[in-house]
Amino acid sequence: MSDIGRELSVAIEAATRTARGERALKGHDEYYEFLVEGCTPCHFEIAGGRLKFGDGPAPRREPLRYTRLEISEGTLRAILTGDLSPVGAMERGELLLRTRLYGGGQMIMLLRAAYDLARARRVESGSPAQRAAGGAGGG
Amino acid sequence: MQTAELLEGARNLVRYAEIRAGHEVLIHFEPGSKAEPCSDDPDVLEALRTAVTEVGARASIMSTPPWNKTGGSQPPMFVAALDGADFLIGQGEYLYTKNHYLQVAMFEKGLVYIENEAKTAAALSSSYGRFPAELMFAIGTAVVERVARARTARVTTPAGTDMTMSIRPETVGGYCYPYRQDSPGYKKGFPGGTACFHPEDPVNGVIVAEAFAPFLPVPNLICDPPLRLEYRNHRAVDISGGGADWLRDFWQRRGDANASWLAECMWGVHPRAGGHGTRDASNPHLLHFGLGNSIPYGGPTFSKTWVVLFAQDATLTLDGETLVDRGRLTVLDAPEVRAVASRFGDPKVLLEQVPVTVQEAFGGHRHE
Repeated sequence: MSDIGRELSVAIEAATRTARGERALKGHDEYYEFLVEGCTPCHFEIAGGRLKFGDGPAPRREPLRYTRLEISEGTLRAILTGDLSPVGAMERGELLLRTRLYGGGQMIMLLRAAYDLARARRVESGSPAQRAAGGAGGG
Repeated sequence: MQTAELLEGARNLVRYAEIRAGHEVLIHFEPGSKAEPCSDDPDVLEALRTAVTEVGARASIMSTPPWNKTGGSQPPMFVAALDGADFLIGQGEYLYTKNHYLQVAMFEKGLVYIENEAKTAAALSSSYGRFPAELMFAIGTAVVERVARARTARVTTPAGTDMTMSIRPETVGGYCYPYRQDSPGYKKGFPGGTACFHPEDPVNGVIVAEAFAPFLPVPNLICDPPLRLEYRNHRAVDISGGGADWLRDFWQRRGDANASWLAECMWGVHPRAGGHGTRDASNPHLLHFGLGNSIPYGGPTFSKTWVVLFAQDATLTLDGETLVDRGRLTVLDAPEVRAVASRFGDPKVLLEQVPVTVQEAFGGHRHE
């Protein structure tokens, strides 16, 4: 597993324990495959309200049950460190959801929860200036 | 005056969206809207409130002054209210989901935005507004399954369209399958009735469009003579016919390298859509192509512009099998669809397609 894949898996796992993450998991079942530029693919499966991480492409690509996220390592890292919100990345065209019309919301909620956790950590550990910046919230 | 039919239409919306006990539902309307003059019909608002409340959800109704949805600043009170809502029922003007505040509310916070496409009492009470959710989802599921297992789509029309596109199953969707399959964080139309996919390479051929979509500031929506766009490798390489000058000028002023990217192929699957305040674009007689920003449709290209062109009585074939035959949706005859229809009445009546033409749908619209 690549470093960024490992970081993603840890961050999303933590995100599922937030209120936003719990709400996302309560939705439908779906495979989310991450294609991070230059890295081997990895995927998450949401099924029955639980999240499972896996190396490699998603094992199934059923219609209405599969979303592929295309992103660069830099952009993904920026989300996971709380520097760029997922919607901000989508609006810049740096996070592509290759899925059906209005699909993929669950994983964007989880990425947003990971982004918020990173900003909260920054507030806890940073200088007063950093705390002020982190506390301002994003996105 | 509230009628049993009107309340049944409102209950149908609640069933489509799967609003349940404990949900917080915001119903938004805009008195004084020119685009949606019937947005503030008290009977419709009360029917929606009743239907939401009787399933145990909490309905809050919010009125705002109308604002420019594509360029204006939205009322901060409205944006704040979205924070507390699980569902938003849009009874006012369409909110344009590409707006940042709505992207955040839907994708990051999990808001479900249900755009009511049957806003008037007449539309909500009609066989269109009361069309059984289970039957719409049976039609939609049959359509999605057929499109998703195909590799190539071809669209032809009597006016001269002949486009060939590839299909990736993951981009097949629309407003026609059970909405729970996108929960939470999405937008859908009620009663919906459209299916779509993002055309994948290779994309080549000719689009002969008969009308522009009403949201475009083109002086005359009807293309007379029809507008012809020749497509090579996903982009228009030649434009001629009615509306060509306007389109070229629009793209020159506001467009970019991806302005003509073929981003969406969408067609109607609702047999009762058409006229009387219903959404004509949901009728199988109308198919439209979306050009420009493909990101919301599962595509790979961003554009600053979005143009929608309508064609009438299209034939859509999937690997040679006909899904739409000169405007007639063939799955309306599928045994699995007829079986579901028979639970709600006479399938022949329920699934009879209302006739719609681009002239009827768009001929009355004029921009100053």
